Amino acid sequence: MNKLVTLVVLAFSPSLMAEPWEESPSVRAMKDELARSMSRLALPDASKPYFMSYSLYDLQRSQVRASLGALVSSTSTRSRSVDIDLRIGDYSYDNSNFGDGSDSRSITLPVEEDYDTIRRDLWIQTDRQYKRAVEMLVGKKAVKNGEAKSPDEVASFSKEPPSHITELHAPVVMEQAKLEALAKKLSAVLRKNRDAYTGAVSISQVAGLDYFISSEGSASVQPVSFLRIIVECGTQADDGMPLHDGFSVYVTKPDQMPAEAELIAKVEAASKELSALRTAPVVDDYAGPVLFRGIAAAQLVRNLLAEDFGGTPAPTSRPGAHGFGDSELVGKLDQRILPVGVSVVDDPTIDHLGKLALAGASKFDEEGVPVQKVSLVENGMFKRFLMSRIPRKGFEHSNGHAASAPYSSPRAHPANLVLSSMKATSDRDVAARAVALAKEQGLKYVIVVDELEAPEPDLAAAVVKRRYADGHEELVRGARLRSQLTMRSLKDIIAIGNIPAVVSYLGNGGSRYGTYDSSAGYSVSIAAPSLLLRDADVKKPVGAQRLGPLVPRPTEPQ
Amino acid sequence: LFFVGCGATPSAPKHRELAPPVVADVPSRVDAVRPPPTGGAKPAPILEQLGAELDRSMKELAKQPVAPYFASYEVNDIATVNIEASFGKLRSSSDTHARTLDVDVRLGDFKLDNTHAVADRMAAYGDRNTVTKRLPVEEDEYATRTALWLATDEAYKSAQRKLEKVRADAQVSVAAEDRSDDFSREPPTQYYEPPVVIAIDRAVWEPRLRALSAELGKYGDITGSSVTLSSNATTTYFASSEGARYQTPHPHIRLSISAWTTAEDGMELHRFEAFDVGRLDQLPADDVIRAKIDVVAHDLVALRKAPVAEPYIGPAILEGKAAGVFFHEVFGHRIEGHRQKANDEGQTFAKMIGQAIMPAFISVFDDPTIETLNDEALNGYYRYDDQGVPAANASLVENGVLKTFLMSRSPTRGVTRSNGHGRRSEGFSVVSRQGNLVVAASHTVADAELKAQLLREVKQQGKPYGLLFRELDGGFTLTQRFEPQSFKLLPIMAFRVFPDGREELVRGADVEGTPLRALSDIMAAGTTVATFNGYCGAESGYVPVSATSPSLLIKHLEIARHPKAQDKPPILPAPSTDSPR
Repeated sequence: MNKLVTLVVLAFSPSLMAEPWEESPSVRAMKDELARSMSRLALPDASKPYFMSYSLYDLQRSQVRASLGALVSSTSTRSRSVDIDLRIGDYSYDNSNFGDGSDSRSITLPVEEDYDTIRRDLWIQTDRQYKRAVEMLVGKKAVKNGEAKSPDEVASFSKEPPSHITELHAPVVMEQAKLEALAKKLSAVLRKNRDAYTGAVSISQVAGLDYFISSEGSASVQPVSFLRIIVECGTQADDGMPLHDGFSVYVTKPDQMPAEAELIAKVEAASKELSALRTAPVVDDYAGPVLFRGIAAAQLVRNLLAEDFGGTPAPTSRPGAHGFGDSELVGKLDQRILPVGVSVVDDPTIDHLGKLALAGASKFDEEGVPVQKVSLVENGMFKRFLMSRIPRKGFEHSNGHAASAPYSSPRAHPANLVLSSMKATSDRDVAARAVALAKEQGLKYVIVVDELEAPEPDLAAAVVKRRYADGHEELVRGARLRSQLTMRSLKDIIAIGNIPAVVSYLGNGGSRYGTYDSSAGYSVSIAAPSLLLRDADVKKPVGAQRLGPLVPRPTEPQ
Repeated sequence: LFFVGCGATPSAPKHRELAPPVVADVPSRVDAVRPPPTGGAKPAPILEQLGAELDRSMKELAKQPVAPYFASYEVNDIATVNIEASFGKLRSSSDTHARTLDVDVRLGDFKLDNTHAVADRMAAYGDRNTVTKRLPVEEDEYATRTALWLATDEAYKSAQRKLEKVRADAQVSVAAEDRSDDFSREPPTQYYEPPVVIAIDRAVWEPRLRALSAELGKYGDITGSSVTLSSNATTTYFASSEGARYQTPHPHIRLSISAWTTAEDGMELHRFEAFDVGRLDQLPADDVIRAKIDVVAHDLVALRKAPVAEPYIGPAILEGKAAGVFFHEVFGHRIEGHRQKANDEGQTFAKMIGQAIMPAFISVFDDPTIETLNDEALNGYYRYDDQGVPAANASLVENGVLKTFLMSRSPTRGVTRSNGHGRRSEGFSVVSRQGNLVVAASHTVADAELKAQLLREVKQQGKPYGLLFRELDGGFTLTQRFEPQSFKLLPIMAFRVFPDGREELVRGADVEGTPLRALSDIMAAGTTVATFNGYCGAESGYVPVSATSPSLLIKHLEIARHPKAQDKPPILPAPSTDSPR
């Protein structure tokens, strides 16, 4: 095992390092129980599984939270879980992708490595999955029998060559004490600002290895990790309006981690911005051009487009059942969804875009399929979907984009989505164009968005400015934009910058499902340059504001 | 948790115990140890901070048009350790440390305040009487007081909105039948014990739990099992605007044994035992634990083969622990003071003070100040309740006659003062709850005689067999008016007792009944007394409780089918017993 690079700071020691990984007790237990189940697991009136896979995640999970410089919580746990995929029927028609898309195919293994206990756990859970599969197949057939045959009928599961990928670099992890010190230090910056009524820093770190074995002969392993820092601060304006500021940092590789001084500077900037927001004017109703600048553009793509590139068909469901819908892009193949000259690719094989770190890199996806670069939009035209092994008419094979939102089975999701344009201009030109366009419409200023409000748990608040003809900008508060925009808004992008910005986060299947477990999901990066939309609405807040605190704030003891 | 702020209509309150404890071979006595006060410790910095911020807030809020007449802070510093082993290997090992804050602010006056029940529960939805936050676990005065400041502001504003609704409701609703005040006057007390620390040595405990859990691996029919050490070192810090201050430790250590399997017909079966103590050195030695593991395993193997119980009514013996749970459900939840008051409650006993409600040889009291009873540590031991009132013995039933209720600071007809039973877990508003419920019989018969009486009753009633309940998982009761006033017990070890004295284990026998009937059906008590230690869940969260009783002979008990999963047992044999690999 001399190829193993021990960058480990904390003693992260998956017990398999001493021997070839395929000989470790857990992998042997998975292989043996898989073989036994494939050959003998059957009820009298049902067939044996035709496919099975086990994905083992052997992880160390840390969560640290500090508030105004003081530690609030700190936990670190070893977490070992196995996701089971068990299919009966055959590739052309099986039990999968039925119901509401949710499932409970995950089990928690003992923290200690032991062949017998792991096999026992796998035995019980595999048996349960098998019985669910039998029920599902019967249910799915009953629903299908009541429906006319669709011309878009495709197989249930694509055939893919088995994967044999061995990537055993243990991910670098920060020690718990260092995470605690960092959270305290960053939140202590907010303590100095008496405008910040709340000032909290949460750090999550997940690091370990991901093993995949299947009845088709796949046997692969790769490192998985992420480190996420969420900084949130809040206050109230004198008129009572609650105000928030903050940011998140999300990286998957240690060399992507910003230096401490850089983080402190970012917290100081957020703190300053929070104070500035208290006295900023309230946004007015506005209809006109809107410039999304920096990460706001990437957030826009995240919110309006990214998850719709997932081409996994909606599950067959019983009438009235709720679940994943089909992508908005269904039926738009070869149609223009973005301006001429714009392309979108998703490339999980890279971990940097120029100097910008990307979080969505991996070797194989959650179905064990090697990841591939996929060209999604060419010259503004929608060309193809991201696919898992659940096919769609015209997309019969996986391109290595299977990932699962918490409590659901794998579907196709974005990994490293990059939007760029052949017709890009400098950001200065884009801004000038924006101001000119506003002027044409008789507006005194153009709305510039530097940050969009992000869904939880990222909690970013919108940072919105007015930009005037002379180039000066004025911060405004109270703007909410997300709900005013749809995918169609992107067709009317009229200028695109040439410097991309990246937003990285833990994906949870889009906004359809909230994340109950804020440390479960898949890593995603979205890169996009500044985008100028021809026409968008910005609404000022309505309704009365609550009063601010009635009692003066306590003072720092001397 | 159950019907506080839960949606469109009040849902069924379910009072459910988790997990029973050890069977100790207890003598037929009620031998209580009430430790003397050991206060006098130095108040911790956090308590000083609570007091200082509370005083400052009250002073500042007094300038508001509607000033609070009462406020309190309760902080629980909770350090837990959990180590679970299964079949000889560690399953998990974790620890946590957290500080929670509960802020209660009262506006109005003792007579009518924001905590008053509003007829339209939906209208009051969202305006909680208690605001809960996490505090730093470090001694950091500024960060802590800033959090207190914001939580107090939130609690005050919530109370303000709620008081408006209370006053509006009073205009449109018929006068309440019970016109008692909303808050009782209690003298404030100060009491300080040192904070609690429980040091769990993982290097000792991990190997010990591994070894103990390996015992259950010998039984092929058991599909899952665990041996778990859970330690919870909670120190409570309380400050009220009336000047009450206390700092009390709540150490709790539980060593539990759990095992489960599936019967051929798909019924899921489990067996649970636990040792509950306050100090590590009170835990039993390995041989005692191993003997208990043996009981768990043998019971489970026997249950797997036992016939399924059929719906039935007949005479029954509830052994001590089962009888304790019976009283907890049938009686204990119905004499909680706030249930006598709320218009949507069944109020079974609201107007029965001074009346006989059970046989004259039975007395019942609830005394949280008992630390050990008959040499067994009680889960419901505490010195101060969550409203800062000293815990006191509530003598509920004397010689069959109802005397009083379990009281928080919410008075009810005829009972105007708290008896220190106002309880909650973090994040909930206080209501009156049980602590250590004790059933005492003025005369008892030997266990053999109790069984003989059962058999005579079987004959008398012309029944094929009587029933015997040894171990219970817990139970629940429905107390709201639109629901049937009923209870359910969930027995694990239930037996048919045939006229020749033979006992046959059955599975899936749930006990159902109604309270007044069940209490009047008590015929006799046995000499053996036992204690059920568990956790009780209701609208103020989960609180630790105990219930102690002698064995009881009941004239009629009804059993119903237990709900069962439909899955068949595992198709393949356990990997360890499967022949060819």
